Amino acid sequence: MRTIIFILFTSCILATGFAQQDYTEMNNVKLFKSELEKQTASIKSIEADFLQNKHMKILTRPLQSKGVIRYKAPNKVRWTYREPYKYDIILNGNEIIINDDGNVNAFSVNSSKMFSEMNDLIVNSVQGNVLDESRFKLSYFENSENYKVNLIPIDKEKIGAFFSEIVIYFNKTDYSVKKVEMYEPGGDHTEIVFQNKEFNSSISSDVFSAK
Amino acid sequence: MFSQLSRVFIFFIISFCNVYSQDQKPISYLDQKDEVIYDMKLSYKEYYGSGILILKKSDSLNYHGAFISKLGLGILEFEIVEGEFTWIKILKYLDKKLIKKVLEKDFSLLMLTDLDRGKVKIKNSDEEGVKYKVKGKYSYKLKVNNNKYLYLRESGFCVLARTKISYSYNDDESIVPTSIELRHNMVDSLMKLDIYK
Repeated sequence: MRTIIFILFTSCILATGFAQQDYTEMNNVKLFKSELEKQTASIKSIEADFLQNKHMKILTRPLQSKGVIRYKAPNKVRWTYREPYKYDIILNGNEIIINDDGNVNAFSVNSSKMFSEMNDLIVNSVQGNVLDESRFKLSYFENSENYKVNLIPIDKEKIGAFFSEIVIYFNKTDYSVKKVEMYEPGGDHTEIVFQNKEFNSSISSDVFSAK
Repeated sequence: MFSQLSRVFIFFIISFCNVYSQDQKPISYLDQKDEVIYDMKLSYKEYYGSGILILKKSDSLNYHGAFISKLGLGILEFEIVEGEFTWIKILKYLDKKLIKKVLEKDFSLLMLTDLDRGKVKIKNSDEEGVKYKVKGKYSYKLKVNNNKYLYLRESGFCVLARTKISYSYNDDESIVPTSIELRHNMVDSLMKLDIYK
């Protein structure tokens, strides 16, 4: 009898623990969208650390890299990878600049479909404008801490050629993007977690040049 | 009598050479690790790109490789099963017959897949090391010293843009090269691999 009570008690504790992590369908999607729009409209700049984990079937453990992301409204983004390699990608309006450990390449966003799609995705994610129903089939979820939006690309030739699904986690307190998961056709995926976020600090425009 | 003796002598020489080449047969560096990851830099004329290359021996005869961008996006993935090269994934802009053919050869040579299935013989040796002649899907000469590769040179008739690979090591223990450089004859290109830390 005592064993049965112990098992039931333990199961209840475990169930409570898992329930906190489990996502259920979002109660009020309309409110979430309007709050997200309101919060992101006030954002002029973001600076955050990021931790990237690449999960692949071929790998025994994920490939980890980290760095800093800086965003300045309306459309400037700089990803700086600091470990284990030095790599910068700057999205500066219509131009993409890559600084690969000193090798600098600059080209137009429109010259590469892949970069054009990536540019749209990154800038829109940072701006919170990613919930575009003309490009994605959207599903909304939430738990006690986060909102989660699953995006399935509609056009399989554009963003759908690179990703089968994108999952974005928003912090419930400030509606900022907490984590992004990008799933590729075939199942490999990239997870990017954002930490130490600073909003509306002064970021010089020089940051978005190749210097 | 002399003729019989010379035949016996030749027989022993041939047998000795066969035994020697079997014993000394080099192995692919992928036999030593679960997976080998390189930071890969590619240049062709004025073009330049980079990413992460993952190479793996999935079992005793089969190989698996993938190349991803530093942003994390998968660019290409392939398998070599019983000597047959199969593309699992290749992005549309690289999905061209000529590019795929060059990449198939380069990746097969990089992974030294013919050491498993091809004929491997000693060509000669000197104070620098032993030069092996490898004949499989591709033919090449591989110079090895103390289980570490020095260079690979593609051989054979009518081979355009022959592949040349050079290896360097920082680690005394491992046969996994720290750096690899792959070039093609008469083509202004370089694939440079540095071990991923």
